[in-house]
Amino acid sequence: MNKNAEDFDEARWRRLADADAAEEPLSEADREFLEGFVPRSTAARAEAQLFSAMARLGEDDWQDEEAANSPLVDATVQHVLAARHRAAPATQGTTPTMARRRWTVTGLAVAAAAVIIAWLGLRPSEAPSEPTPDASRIARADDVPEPAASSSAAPEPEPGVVVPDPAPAPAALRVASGRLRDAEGRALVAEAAVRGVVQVDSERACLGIEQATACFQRGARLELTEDRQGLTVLEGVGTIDVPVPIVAGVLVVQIAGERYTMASPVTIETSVYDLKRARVEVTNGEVELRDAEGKTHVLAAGAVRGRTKTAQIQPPDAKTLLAKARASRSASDRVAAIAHYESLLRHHPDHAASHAAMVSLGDLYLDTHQPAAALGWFQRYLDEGGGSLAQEASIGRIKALRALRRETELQQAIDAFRERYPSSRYVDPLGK
Amino acid sequence: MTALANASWVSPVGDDPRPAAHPADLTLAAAAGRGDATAAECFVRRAIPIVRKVARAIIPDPVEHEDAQQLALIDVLDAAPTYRGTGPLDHWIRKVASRAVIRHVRKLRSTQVHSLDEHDDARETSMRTTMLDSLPRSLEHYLGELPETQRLAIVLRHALGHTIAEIAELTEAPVPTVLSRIKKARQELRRSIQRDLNLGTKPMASTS
Repeated sequence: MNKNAEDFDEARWRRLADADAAEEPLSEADREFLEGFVPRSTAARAEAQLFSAMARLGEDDWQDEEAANSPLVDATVQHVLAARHRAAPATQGTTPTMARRRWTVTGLAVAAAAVIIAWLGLRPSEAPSEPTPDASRIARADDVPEPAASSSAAPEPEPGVVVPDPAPAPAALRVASGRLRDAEGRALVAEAAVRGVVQVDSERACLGIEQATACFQRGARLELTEDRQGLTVLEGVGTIDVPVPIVAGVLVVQIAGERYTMASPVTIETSVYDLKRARVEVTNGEVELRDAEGKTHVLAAGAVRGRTKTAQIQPPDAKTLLAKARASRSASDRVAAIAHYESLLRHHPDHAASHAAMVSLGDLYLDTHQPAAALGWFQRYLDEGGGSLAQEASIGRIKALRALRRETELQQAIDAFRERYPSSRYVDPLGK
Repeated sequence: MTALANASWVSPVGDDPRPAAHPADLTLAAAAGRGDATAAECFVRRAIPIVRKVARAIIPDPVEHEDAQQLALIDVLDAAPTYRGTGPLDHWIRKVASRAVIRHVRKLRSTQVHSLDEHDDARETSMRTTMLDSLPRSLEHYLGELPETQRLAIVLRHALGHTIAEIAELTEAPVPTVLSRIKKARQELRRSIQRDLNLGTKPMASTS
């Protein structure tokens, strides 16, 4: 082929390639030419190779790393399912026990309220009345009004409106001992009401409803439903003990996607790391369980749900925890991100990512308006040798001191930062 | 996979009269959307290679694309109930992932928020480059020379196979603008290659 013909063909090839990229229709002959063209000049070969390589951009040897994907898969599934679970508990099914209840369905809003109550596992004779003022303290069996007293005050339902059967007001789970921390970072001590996601912030903390207690070790994360009678164990090791029948209702505990309904004496011990790493052992009494597929089982003393050997329940590896923390952070779920980073530091203190996680924790605590906790993590990072994030940790420390109004230390920290990092991009925003 | 095997065909969008062209994919997405953990895991495993390619193609920074990938996977699983089964699931995943990654990029650009621990991790990684025997420089180098809007448009078109209409929707730009960006990007890539060849930059015959 002579040079002119070659140039002509290359020009045609480029024109057709541009047209194809713009989704312009090509004739059959043009399509055939485009697909069969073999570039000869150096420039055309390079160009053809570039566009061919672009089609494979982003692909790599990772495609066979099935096992390496597992932490990512676990973190994603757990995050989304947990978020859905939190967002729409009312969509959960009902247990066969609850199915015995007679509902009359006509009003959508009232129906939703009724389903929530049903989900909480109230017994057939119970009513969804508002908590009485007395319910604001830890209820005792003899404090609880008789069902008849409560139901007599209930208004007559509109025809066709969903109204659950009458029942006494449920008592609320409250802090019985130890200290927890809520999503806003507030410390919750004895007698405090609990709702939303909380984390055990002392060596051990217990929630109570009547005589029943749910005691968990430091770091455990629990979620209390809006009316504070349903408890979800998101993560942690603990014991739930119902020594005498609960009069004011039942305690419904969700563990790893399964629901335990506790009303009569029972004790369970549980270790939960996530939906797949969970173990529940009934050590006393019996409990009704509804599994993820909606089937009901009764577990008696000695029964074990999940892994059968305690030794098999291990915390997730560092990569999984890091992936979970990142997923939570990406989704702006700072409470969960904090829990996962702290879990990473607790279980894998020597992992390479743990040191840097201290700065992330400081950052997250600042974001959640907990400057004291933030200061602790920034300081710990710097005390343990600093690293490539020393500037960020120092700035974080300054922000925490400012939030805490510790003026003397703040000025010292600013001066020290200016002296150590005179050309840092953070210097100007510091002010004097 | 028992739950999946037993799952009945239920359209998650009951008012769509069109029959699903991909009923198996629809069943999987619907089960994942209902909260079936097994189906959700299967769905995410299916999505991972696609989401990873999307994140790596759109975001050159290896630290940032890890974050984007995680976020996009969450979005894809979250959106599973909206899959109608009328088109291939992989293409639907690619579109949802592209939208999530682009949104993440915009957020990064606007807030300059970085996850600090991930930057620390980045010390152990380096930018991946694709060296080709006929090209004087790496593919990533040439793409990096393009203005951001042109780079995004041409990556969405050639690397991820989106249609012009989809790119317009994903980038919130009119179709003529998208066409113009792609055309200019192609011209610029040609010009850059020609420039390097004229300067005598030696093609590198290795792939890393």
